[in-house]
Amino acid sequence: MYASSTKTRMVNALEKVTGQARFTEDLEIPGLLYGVAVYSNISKGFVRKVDLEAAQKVPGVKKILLPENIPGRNLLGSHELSHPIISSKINYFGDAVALIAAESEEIARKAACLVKVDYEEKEGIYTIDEAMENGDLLFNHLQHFHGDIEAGFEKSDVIIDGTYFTPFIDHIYLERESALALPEPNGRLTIYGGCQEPYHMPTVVSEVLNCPREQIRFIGMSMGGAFGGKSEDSFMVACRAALLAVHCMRPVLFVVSREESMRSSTKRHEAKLYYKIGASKQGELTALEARVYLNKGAYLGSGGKLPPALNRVYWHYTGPYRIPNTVLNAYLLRTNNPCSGQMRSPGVPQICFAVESIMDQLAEALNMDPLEFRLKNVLEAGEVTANGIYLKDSVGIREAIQKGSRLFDWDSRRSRGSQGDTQTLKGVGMASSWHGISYGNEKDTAEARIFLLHNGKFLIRTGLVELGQGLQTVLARVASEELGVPMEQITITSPDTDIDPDSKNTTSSRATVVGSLAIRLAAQEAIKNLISHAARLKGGAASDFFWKGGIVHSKNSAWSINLADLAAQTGSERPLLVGNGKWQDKAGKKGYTTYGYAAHFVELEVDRKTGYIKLLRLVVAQDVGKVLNYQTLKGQAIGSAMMSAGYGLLENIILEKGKILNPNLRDYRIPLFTECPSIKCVFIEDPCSEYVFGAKGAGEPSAVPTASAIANAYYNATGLRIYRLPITQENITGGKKQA
Amino acid sequence: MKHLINFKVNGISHSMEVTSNTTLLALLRDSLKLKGTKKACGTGDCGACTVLVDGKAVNSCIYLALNIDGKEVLTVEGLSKNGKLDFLQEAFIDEGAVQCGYCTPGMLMSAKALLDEHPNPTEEQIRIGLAGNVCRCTGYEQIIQAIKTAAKKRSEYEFQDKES
Ligand code: FES
Ligand code: FES
Repeated sequence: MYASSTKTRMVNALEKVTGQARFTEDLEIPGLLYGVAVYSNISKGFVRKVDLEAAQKVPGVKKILLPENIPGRNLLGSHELSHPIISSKINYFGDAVALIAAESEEIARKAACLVKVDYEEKEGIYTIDEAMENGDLLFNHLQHFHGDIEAGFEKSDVIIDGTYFTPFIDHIYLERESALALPEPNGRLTIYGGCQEPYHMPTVVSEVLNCPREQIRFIGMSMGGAFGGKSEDSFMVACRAALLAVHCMRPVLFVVSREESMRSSTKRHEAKLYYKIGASKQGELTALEARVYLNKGAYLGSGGKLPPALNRVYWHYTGPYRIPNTVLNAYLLRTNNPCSGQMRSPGVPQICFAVESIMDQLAEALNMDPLEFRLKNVLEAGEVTANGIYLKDSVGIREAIQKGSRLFDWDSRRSRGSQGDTQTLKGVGMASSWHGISYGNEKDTAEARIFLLHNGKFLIRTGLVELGQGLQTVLARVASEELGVPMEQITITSPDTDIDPDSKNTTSSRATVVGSLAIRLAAQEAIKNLISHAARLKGGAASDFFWKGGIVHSKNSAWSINLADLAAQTGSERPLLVGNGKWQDKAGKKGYTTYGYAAHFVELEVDRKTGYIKLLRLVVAQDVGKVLNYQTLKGQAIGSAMMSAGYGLLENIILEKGKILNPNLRDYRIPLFTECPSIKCVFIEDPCSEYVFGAKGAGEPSAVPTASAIANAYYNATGLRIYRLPITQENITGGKKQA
Repeated sequence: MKHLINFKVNGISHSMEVTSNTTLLALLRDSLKLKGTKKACGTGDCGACTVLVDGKAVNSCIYLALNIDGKEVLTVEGLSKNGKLDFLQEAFIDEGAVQCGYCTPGMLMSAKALLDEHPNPTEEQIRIGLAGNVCRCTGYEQIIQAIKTAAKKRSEYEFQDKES
């Protein structure tokens, strides 16, 4: 039986506290060149002419590349509206007009300043409303209908509607994206970097280089955070490094400064959300109408016209509630802003803000406690969602709200009402959320290979990636349970596309789940094979032997053989593949297998004079199915919640005609030590029968509701309803013109 | 223009020529190949590059190498002594204060400066003392716990040391 109370330390923490962990920029390779990009100075228009003369004269400059120097497809992806690697048509400030390789980063940057670009500037489109008016800028429009919306609103005793706005925000993974490309004379090229989609990397790079996919190898380094950003953002730096490397036939490290990272990397989609929700006097939800507008920015990325954010809007737009009549219209729009991509539960934090704000307003209109009102409407196991997903089991939202509220002491804090003193106002608020685990509406697969090493230990390759979320620790624990050997005997490797299986993305809170499923299958095969192997050695049928604690025992005698001896008997010192497990989701599956749920509770105070908001207390209640490793889980939940708190209070990419006015960590602030309240967590273990030990992925559900809980607590304190995140002075007073 | 400077890093003496605009971070990472110290912003806004100069925490990305002439620098590579981890390193592992680990070297160095000044810091002192170090992964809770644990273990150890 799986013991979740055990406190397992992160397997690679030691190398990280001693400074030994190697991130991409830490690599030392003889003859290394440094690559940078020359970024556009306009957000829309054309490059008329590029004058490289002065830049080329800088001693140490090796190569400057323009679009015509790209041997393959000048696009990051298969769609014609994908991001060019080097642009001649400009669609935002993050377009690169040239790439430079030089002997040092300093030289490369000096040369970049000397590249003279003559632009023909055009009028851009920046806001969602402008883009909606211009029919050409609609990338996609999704609709969904459930029940009878008109009848639903007719039956409502109260109806609340409103338009809500959420900003573009940046991932701010602390390690900026970077890639090192190492060409070999035989035409092969190895990329070292950090990427959430390692297996896709060779495909993308080979298309740009116009070479067979097999020529490209990707090796994963330690990663300094990702949060959904290090798929597309990593592909881009890798393609740029690779191009420069093959042109110079030398290794190239492509680097971006923090400012360049913020300028050119993907963001969480800016959104405008019109929501209208009705409820009966008894407090039952009757109807919901949603119009969701997502600002995709300049180019399409992964998923093409159906990026994960739009897809998740479709599957999550009702919140975790039972609503008999619903309708959704969701629009994906093209503008001359930074590109939006995947960021922790793409599309869902935006929806949560609108839904959870209105849930509070409805509760108030009905004179009900907001928590009681939600409890009347949350989905239960056995029900079918508005989108037609049958929730077989593991629907822990009710329990999350109940346990979280108890830990928070909701009843007494809420009944004290908004209070404070002469200097401050105090308030409490909550919000709930859901996040579909792994892919919705897609074939899901993962593979694990277990190797027996000569010393009797196991090495496991999955192609899934440690981003800092603790994946290797959790998978090692699962493997240790499945194989019945101590965790110390198991090593989970970093990606290498020459030898790894393809387990697809490490995103969508899927890696723990699908990695465990594949490891379970691989472990079963490994045990079977090791028993047969022992049987062959000793003589006899496999059925005469059994496996216990990493040792094969004979059923008929005292004979046994341990793993090291078994490995020695193979006569080979090479890692021996003993188990291969390929997990594949059911064919024709539609929608998510299950959701992870969270309920967050916030107490805050607002300074009456300055308006400064201080978080005092935060309770994170999350349904995880099963706790696999308490320590890393807690870290994920709290880290997610604080990222969402930043979304609520601080973070905002400020744009003026597509130009980011705050591309640095001083003007774009993420939460600091001094801004984090005391945080408590409670985990609900409502197991999902489809998954190993019932555990659901945990990296995203808690990244969703905190901002909304803060907005509700702010209302409770001040009586001001927030329609635009983050809650800053200008957004409260409406000082800024509506997008 | 180049200047000759003499300094120690993690107890080892160096004598080296540096240009006036070389940062301490570049000296550590590029010249001495000490890659443990990280750069996340390069503008003094995140603390990832924190090292100690004569015991004081500095952002090495905006600290000129010239200024370490005659001084002692301590980096994350110098934290453990004779193969034994510092109390802070141990506590960071035990309390789950490490996720991606990119902020960790800077966090450890700022925390060391804090504990050297306030051996038994209050939670408030920890929060203020480390307010210049950002972490995107953890939400800080487990880092605060780790610093508290380290402070406790360290003072117990020093107490025993004095007793014996
Ligand atoms: S890298 Fe020096 S403060 Fe951020
Ligand atoms: S552990 Fe990732 S930034 Fe702190």
